[in-house]
Amino acid sequence: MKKSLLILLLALPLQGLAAQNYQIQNIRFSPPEYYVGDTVEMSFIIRTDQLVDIKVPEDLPDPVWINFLSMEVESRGLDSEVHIKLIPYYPGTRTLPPLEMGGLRVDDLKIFTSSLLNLESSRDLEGVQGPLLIPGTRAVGALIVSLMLSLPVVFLLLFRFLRARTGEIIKTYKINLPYRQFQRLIRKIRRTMVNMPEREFYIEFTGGFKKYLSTRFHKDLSSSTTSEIENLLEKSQVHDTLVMSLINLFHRVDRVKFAGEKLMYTDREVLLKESEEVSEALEEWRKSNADL
Amino acid sequence: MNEDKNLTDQINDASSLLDSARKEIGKKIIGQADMVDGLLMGIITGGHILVEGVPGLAKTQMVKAVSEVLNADFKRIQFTPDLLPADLTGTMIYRPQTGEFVARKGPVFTNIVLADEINRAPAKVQAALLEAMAENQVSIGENTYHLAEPFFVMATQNPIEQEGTYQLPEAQLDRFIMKLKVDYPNPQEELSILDQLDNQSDQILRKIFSKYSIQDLKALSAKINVDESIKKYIVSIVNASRVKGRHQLPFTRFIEFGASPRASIALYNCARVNALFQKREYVLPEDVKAVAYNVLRHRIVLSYEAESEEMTSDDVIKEILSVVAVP
Repeated sequence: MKKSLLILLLALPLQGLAAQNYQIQNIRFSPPEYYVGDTVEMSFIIRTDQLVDIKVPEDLPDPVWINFLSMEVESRGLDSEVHIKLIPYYPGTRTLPPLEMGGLRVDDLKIFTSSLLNLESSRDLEGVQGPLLIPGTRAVGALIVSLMLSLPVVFLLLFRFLRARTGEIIKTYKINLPYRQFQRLIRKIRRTMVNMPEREFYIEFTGGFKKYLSTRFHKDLSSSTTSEIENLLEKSQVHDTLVMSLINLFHRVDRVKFAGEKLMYTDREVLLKESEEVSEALEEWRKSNADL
Repeated sequence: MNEDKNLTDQINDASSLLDSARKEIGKKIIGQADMVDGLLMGIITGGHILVEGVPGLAKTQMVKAVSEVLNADFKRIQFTPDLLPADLTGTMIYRPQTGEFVARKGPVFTNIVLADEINRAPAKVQAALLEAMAENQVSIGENTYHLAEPFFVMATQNPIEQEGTYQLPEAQLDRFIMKLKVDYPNPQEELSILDQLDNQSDQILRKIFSKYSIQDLKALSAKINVDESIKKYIVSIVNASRVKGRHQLPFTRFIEFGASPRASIALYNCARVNALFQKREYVLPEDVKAVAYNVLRHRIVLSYEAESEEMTSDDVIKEILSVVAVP
């Protein structure tokens, strides 16, 4: 009896020694930080002194606080790499239930499950937490808000751009309008001059020509005489050849209107053609030299 | 001038004659080209000129020079408050030898009269002269005497020293075909005047015109073509000075009374002579504009508003010319 008790006493520590004769190394969790309900893959290496057949337990433990999903073992001589997929349901540090892995019982594995709740104040009820956001939600939200805020500025800039562009178009239209009107007058005179008395022809032509030039030189020339128009043109930046052409037209018309000089019917066509050329040259000059 | 020549040649001859006259007058009168032209224009149109300018601007010298060049008789009458109409026109005097009254003609019986400071004489004297100007004849006693041909009056007015003067009534001002303004010569011209003092011998003027040449020039100016549209332009200008209602034309508020039809006639005649001066056989709108200031200046009576805004007749005429469309 005493002998068997002695053996038992000696055997107990030996058995303990034999049971703990392994080392757990390189414990890793994926993800490194996990929360209650997260699926976690835990992997570690078991190193033993003796060649032990380590294998996956036939029945994985099934405690209330944890759910073992799967377990894999890869043996590499004395080392075996173990992969366990589990879902913890309890926050904090807890020791896993003992795992009977063939010739080895592993019972000192601990895991730490993080909690969204503050542990210190977990006792007290906290207010309802805001909904968790998908990663990037804040950035997208910030972007949308920025866009919303910048919309008036964008509209303002767009409005200004459109206004400026429209203004330019209208300005160009208005600047070119007198020239187009004069061209239309020339065409109209050309159509009707067959039945038009000579004086009427020259009066209508001069009126239209003066009106056109008034817009180009920013002065009402309807009350200006030929010599006044000549002075105005000479003082302007228009080149001499063009000034001479313009003045010649007026002088020629003056001779018909006031001196009673008679011109051939073909001279009317020549006059209209010349006036078209002169007005075209004036427009070209105006465009290349900004406004008169 | 030869009647056989065509109009262009006649105008060229007249122009040469006028250029010679101007050159000759220029020997005595430095600058004042506008004034000289104004006097010649007045003589050719058969009108009379009112000249306004401060003393010392050679107004008397000028009219003397013109009369010398025109080969015309000249008399100067200084208008004073004690002058009587008879001092101008003449009077009937009793001749004891024959026992009858005979007419003694006054100084208006000449070709060119300088009525110096016309506004210093009383209204009745002014009226006597102006009547002579209008009628070209003077009645002395029971007889009427025609004045010399050409008969030209140049009256002067001093714009300063208005105290003790008798302003010419508008109706009488209207009888002057033009009112010329004489301004100071520029410094260069004034220097030439001083230089001229050392060359007194140069101031003897040749008689360029004969009395008949003036008649020829009058006849020639009458031949200058005035188109219907020019006549309408003249009438439009004169009518614009009479428009009432400030909403129609902006300058009407500055005019109390506009120009009379006599102004249209004066514009018409002066524009013709101006065309002659420019060697043209026809009148252009610029001829009308060129003479408009001198012709209308004394015919437009300015309103109180114009005076309060310190506007002159010339300013108003400028406004009129700027709104009336040129044909």
